[in-house]
Amino acid sequence: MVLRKPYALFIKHFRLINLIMALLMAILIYRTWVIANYFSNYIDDYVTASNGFVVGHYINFYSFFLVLIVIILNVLVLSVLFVKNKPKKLYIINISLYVLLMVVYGIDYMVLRGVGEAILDVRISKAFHDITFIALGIQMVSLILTLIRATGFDIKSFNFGADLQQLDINTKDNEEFEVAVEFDSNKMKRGIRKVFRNFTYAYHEHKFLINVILIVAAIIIAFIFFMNFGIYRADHSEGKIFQASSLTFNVKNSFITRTNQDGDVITYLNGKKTKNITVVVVKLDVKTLNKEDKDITLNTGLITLRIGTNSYGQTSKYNYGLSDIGTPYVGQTLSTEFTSYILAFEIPSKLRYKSMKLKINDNISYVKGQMGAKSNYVQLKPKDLTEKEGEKTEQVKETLLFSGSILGDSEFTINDFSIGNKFKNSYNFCSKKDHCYTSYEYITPTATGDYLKTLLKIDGHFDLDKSSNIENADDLYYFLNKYGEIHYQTNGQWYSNKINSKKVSPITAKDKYYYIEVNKNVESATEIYFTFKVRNYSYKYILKQ
Amino acid sequence: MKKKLICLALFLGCFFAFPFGIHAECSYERQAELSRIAANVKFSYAYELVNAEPRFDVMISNITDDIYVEDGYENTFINDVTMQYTHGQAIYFYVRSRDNACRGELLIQQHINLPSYNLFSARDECRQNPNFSYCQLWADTSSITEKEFQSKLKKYINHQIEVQKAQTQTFWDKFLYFIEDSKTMLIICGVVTILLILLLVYRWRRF
Repeated sequence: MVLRKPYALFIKHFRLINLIMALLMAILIYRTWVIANYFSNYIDDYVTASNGFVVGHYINFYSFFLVLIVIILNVLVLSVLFVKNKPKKLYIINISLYVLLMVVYGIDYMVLRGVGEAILDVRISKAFHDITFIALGIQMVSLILTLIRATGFDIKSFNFGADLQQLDINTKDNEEFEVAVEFDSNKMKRGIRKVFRNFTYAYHEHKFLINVILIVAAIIIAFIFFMNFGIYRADHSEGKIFQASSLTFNVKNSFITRTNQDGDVITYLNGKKTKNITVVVVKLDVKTLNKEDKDITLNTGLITLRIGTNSYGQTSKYNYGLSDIGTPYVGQTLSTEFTSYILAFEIPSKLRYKSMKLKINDNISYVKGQMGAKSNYVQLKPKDLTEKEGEKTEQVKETLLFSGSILGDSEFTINDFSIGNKFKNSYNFCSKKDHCYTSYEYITPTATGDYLKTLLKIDGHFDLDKSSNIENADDLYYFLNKYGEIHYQTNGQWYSNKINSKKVSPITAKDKYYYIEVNKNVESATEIYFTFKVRNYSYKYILKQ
Repeated sequence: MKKKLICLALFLGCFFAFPFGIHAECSYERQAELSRIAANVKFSYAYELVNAEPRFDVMISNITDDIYVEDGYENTFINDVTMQYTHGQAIYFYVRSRDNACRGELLIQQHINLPSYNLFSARDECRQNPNFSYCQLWADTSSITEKEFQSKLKKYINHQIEVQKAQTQTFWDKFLYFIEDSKTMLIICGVVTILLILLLVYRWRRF
């Protein structure tokens, strides 16, 4: 084999190699600064810094790979300088520095992986911040010196030009030389056949024993596979009931969103609203199997959201903004009947369409570092509540269905309605036995709020889908106040008001009607309709047109 | 015989005279019944806007022949009635017995406080500043003078402008924020840039 000495190539492209090294060093300086900056932010506000943190954004395979490339390039240059007996201190320092940098990156990675699962001690955070910052400073100096080499400053001290002229290096350094590569392939083939032949002889000699060993090994391997994939790991889908940690679970459905019920963004990063964070909301039914113990709670630490190799823990930051979806779990005691709760997980928005699984560990067999936990994985198919759906329209005497939205199969119907500032109901009153007479009760709007009111008397009903488990939503007043808006046209102008009605109802003369307080101008409206905004779904119910 | 007849006549006369001269007492059972009837009397109010001011109609219902109602303004009602009152008025209603045995006896007392309508709320200034405290629809602002209203409104508007300014970031605010946020990186870039400039100057001077 004939090879060519590479020294002339290195000398010719010395500046270019240094320039490439400098460029890679600059990239690594930026990566080191990002890590140091993160530690700094973590010290200031670890809660905000932990939210949405993905270690891969700070240290990943490419960080180490770039360090390795820089080291290799320094080694190549160093080899030339050794041969040429030129100043080599800088490149030795660079190699040492970047080997140390690889170590620093490795330790940083191990520490940052734990962010989100546990709070880092402030002293540790400060120490790592300082170490990373020192590494950054030294990298800067190295970069400057390498840049000087790359731009040609002081390059004359290397005297490559003189070398080329005086010693005629081009000829010697560029000459060809022969590398003897002797390889006897026949010998290798004979060797392989010999090994195979001997093995065959041994097998036939100890056939029974070897067969027994192979069968036992196959059984053990099959058992290990079965335990890990069939017992220690269980896979489920949404809607399937399973048991873990002496609790019974049924993950009903899941959603992804960034807003509260009114459409206001609720995800924040560094104190500012951001679309870079998305909330995954998982709605699950859970009950305990233990009838004796009255204080069983759900250990949310055993429940994580897995997206690829990333793992996210549950957060309670968004409980208020997600209350229309379900009841957030905040340590309530579990009962022996299924109760529905929601758990929220914060993830980077770019992962929102990736495959995600809810992992629930069984804490009975879980011993960290030893046996490995029994894990239940539930494949999630979250509904995207950020994607707007079209508007559905119905009118009086028709039923408005909310299927597809967070209200599930709930229905709303108005059979008839009337408008007035007072309604008179009659009832029978008896002052004593055998002495009864017809009495009357007036139903009127309250004098509260910021507009004059009248009453919209509705003959209708709202049937809540119980599986949606939204607290109080089965009350028509709650439903109208939370989701409803009334629109009306008077004198050619359209107006709208959010429904904010007190619960107006007769005290004595009970009836089947609902009395909703609306703006007094509705009395003279020529067209009236309700709109309901349920997250990403819009509905319209026409009363008068 | 004559004496006996006279005594008998006197006795009978006394016996029958008492009912005409003396009233029977209001029995416990009758009182309880009248109280139940009085408790069934309903007082409600509705309002209409008349000449830019609300007029309150107070409906009194379920007045029977056994009772009557008086308000604190010398009005007496013996049948169901709708009466008009002014906003902000406090009205006391007294339900009394019309039964001969318990005539005039107070059975129940009811009190209605009609909400006060804020006359300022209809102004254009209030339509433009609905959250101003003196622009609430239902509030007693009878003691607020025009001068005080204008003075408070001016303060409120100025405060809103200050809040708006504080929330709006000018270009320089954003620029300063960017500097603050990236100061370490900027320092590093600055040092490198200065060194490069020095290097270029040095090379230019040499050549």
